[in-house]
Amino acid sequence: MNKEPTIEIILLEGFAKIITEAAEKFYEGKDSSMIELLEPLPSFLELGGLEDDQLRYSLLTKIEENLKENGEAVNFWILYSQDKRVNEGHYICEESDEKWSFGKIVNGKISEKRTFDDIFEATANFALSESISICQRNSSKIEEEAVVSESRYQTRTL
Amino acid sequence: MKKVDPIQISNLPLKEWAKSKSRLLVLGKYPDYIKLAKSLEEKEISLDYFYLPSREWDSLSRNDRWKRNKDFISEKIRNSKCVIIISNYISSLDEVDGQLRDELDYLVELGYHIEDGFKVVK
Repeated sequence: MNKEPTIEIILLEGFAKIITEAAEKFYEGKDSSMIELLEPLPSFLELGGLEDDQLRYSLLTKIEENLKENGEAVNFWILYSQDKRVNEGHYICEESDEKWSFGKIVNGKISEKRTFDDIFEATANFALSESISICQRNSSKIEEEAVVSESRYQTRTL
Repeated sequence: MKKVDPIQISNLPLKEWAKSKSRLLVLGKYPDYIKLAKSLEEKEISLDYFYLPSREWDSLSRNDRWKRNKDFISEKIRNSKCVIIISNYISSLDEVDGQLRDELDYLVELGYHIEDGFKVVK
């Protein structure tokens, strides 16, 4: 008997598709920011996707499957990493021995690094971590702006 | 794309360039260019490299990112004599893509050329 997919699985597949295609859409569109392209993703964070290891692992696996079906998306995520002009954050790059590394730069130095034999696994890790970081930075920015706006309102009403 | 050997960078007369009031500008692919720039800063070599806070970077489209980057390069090369080094070896411009290709195309348009695979000079 076929089981109907649960709402979590439908949502997860949707999030995986958005992340897989985000870099490709970013380069095709030229006028969209990554925040705009990843707009539905904060719902994943609201679902507790960061705290729930199983949920995060399922999303990572689904992104990896998608990347295996769409090799171009891998190239766009690697280009996205190479094109970053920031002084810290995640990266993916090819090592000299045909391995791939995924890591994080802090103050110009590598603070975290994992090496993979498989380009799809490395790219899935980068795409997921980068997408979540973008959403987290944006939501903390929105919260800070809301606090500033609230304090301005309170100042006016005093 | 191969990273430039740090020994080749350290053999460059970076401090002499700084004394002659030439500005050193570092380009390249992330994360290589940022690692190179930070390692030179640790050696107290004065230099410029383009970066934006991550939040701001996230909020920009591809066109806007390049516009900000181009404005930065334009300002640096207009205001002083510039020596430009790249963190990655370039054997041919055809093998370069993305933001680094835009940066190099722009400099070539302004009369610069790549020397020894990792220096950009006029």
